[in-house]
Amino acid sequence: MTIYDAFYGVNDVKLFTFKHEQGAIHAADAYARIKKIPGVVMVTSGPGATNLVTGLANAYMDSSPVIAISGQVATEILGRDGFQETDIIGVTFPITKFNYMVKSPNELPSAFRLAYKIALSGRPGPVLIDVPKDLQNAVYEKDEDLSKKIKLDKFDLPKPDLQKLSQAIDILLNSERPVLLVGGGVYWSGAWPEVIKIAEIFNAPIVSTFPGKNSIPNDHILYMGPSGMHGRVEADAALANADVILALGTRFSDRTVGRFREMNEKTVIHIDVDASEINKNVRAKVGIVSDVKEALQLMVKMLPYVAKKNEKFLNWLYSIRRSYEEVLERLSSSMDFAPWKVLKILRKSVPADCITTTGVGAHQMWCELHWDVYVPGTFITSAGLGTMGFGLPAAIGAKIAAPNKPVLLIDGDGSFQMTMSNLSLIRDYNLPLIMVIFDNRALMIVKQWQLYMYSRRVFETEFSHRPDFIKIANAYEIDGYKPSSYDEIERLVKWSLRNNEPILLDIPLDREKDIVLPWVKPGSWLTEVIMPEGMNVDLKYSEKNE
Amino acid sequence: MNKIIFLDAKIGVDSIGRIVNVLRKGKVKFQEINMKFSDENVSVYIKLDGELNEIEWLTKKLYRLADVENVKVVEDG
Repeated sequence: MTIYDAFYGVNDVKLFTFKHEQGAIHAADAYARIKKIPGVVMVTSGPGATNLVTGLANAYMDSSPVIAISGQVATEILGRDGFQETDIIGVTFPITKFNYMVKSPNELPSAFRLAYKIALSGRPGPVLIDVPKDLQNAVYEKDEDLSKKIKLDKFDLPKPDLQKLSQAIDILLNSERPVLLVGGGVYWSGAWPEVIKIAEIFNAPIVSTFPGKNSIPNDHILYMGPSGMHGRVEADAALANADVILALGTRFSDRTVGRFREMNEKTVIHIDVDASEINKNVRAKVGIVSDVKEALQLMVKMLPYVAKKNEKFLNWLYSIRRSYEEVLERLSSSMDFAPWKVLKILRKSVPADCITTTGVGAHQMWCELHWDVYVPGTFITSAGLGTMGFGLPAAIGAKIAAPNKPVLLIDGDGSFQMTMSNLSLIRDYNLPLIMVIFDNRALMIVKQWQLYMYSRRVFETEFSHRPDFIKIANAYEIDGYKPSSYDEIERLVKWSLRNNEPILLDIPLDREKDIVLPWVKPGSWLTEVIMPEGMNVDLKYSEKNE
Repeated sequence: MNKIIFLDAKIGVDSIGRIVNVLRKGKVKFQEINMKFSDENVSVYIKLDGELNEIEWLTKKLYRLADVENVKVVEDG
């Protein structure tokens, strides 16, 4: 309470009070991803602190610099099951980059300084500082420097190893079908211009992970899309048929590559800030621990002239893309609202730098496939943990971070309901959002698994007609609509932008048809992708392919 | 393959909590873990059996911890 009370009357710090602590930490997470500085969340002890757990795990998995400050019971009660006492330090060991319970008031300034530095240094991540109540009330006398307990210089990134860079260049020059695999780390490094430069030099396709979609302008001609479980077929084909993969700022998630066995047969050059990610899941022929931007800048300088190649391979990938889009066009004719078409309408209705957040579910997977991120840093999603409920608080955090930019939330009905109590902040703090709910009245991805992997035993994944999302929006003084056409979606979104007014659109989707394809089932290889009906493409490249 | 990991940590049992949570991720067999405390400075000795790749990965994860230093891996014996 004392820390909270200290903010009374303070004008240069703005507090935003959320309805649930999970909302607060997701908002801080999104804030951090956009501003590239730590987002700060503050909670009380006990249940306040434990309500942070999902958000901390989410930030940890997506390498986001969040600082969580938790109150704690007084030191004399610690460990004695005091009211609202939880050992939050013990609970959060595995899901924080660092955590620390302050032992004296003199440690407080140093603890916060260290939290800031640790959250941002090297690979970003969440830090929790736990502050017992009596220390909040105690008198600070002099700074007790905690940095002697923490070796911060270990997070300083080494310079790229020139010998390894040279080796990597040799491999790339002698490759036949090099492919760049771009992860979320490229965004944090700001390295997309260098990625594009290298890709253009080698005329190499760029494939991303799901978080990597936020790292590269998706409309670049060489960008194939994200690969993996709910990735683009052309991206899967690119990665599967690559002989050399230049992997940048990625941890080789199973969701990205399907199966590690086949990936380990390729020649991989892996550049990442975190040494523990190199050779963790996929063996690297060359592993370079450094900042990606710095490594690629050196690489560009070291490269000799490279003759253009890969045209046939690229053309083959583009033909796969065309096949997919033709099938989708046919499928959409039998749907009132095809999810991918709704996304195209939304994309053309909002400006290029509109920040988009998503929840988790089928809508998110449709975004992975069909949402074009034009400006790196404008796509915020829960990738590693896949946290339902992330979308709305993240959109709020994004709006706090970038008040002059439009923010669009694309959510599912299931995901939205998990944190919709935070709608109150929209009017209370004047944070207008465009909110679009892909409403299929189901936990659709779970239902898809039931259909495909559990012998169609669908149960407890379909919801009733309740609630009425329009009435929910109205209860928070937000206009809500159920559009009846694509044109109406476009009109309403543009109205919201023009008037800087929040809006909620409830888009009804057919839960018998809302199956997200293509799909690489868990444990399968990329070429074993299940394609939509009517698409039949062999994903094994041969020189005879056009 | 039997190896020993030595490391130093700076924040007493809280450091141990962090270290143990990293060790739990390893697909290895632990044979012995010893800790010596001097105020909040802790020296840790971990004897384990596993694939070299896995032990090397665990070592890198341990080194990533902010309050851990001097991480060394040696052969057992």
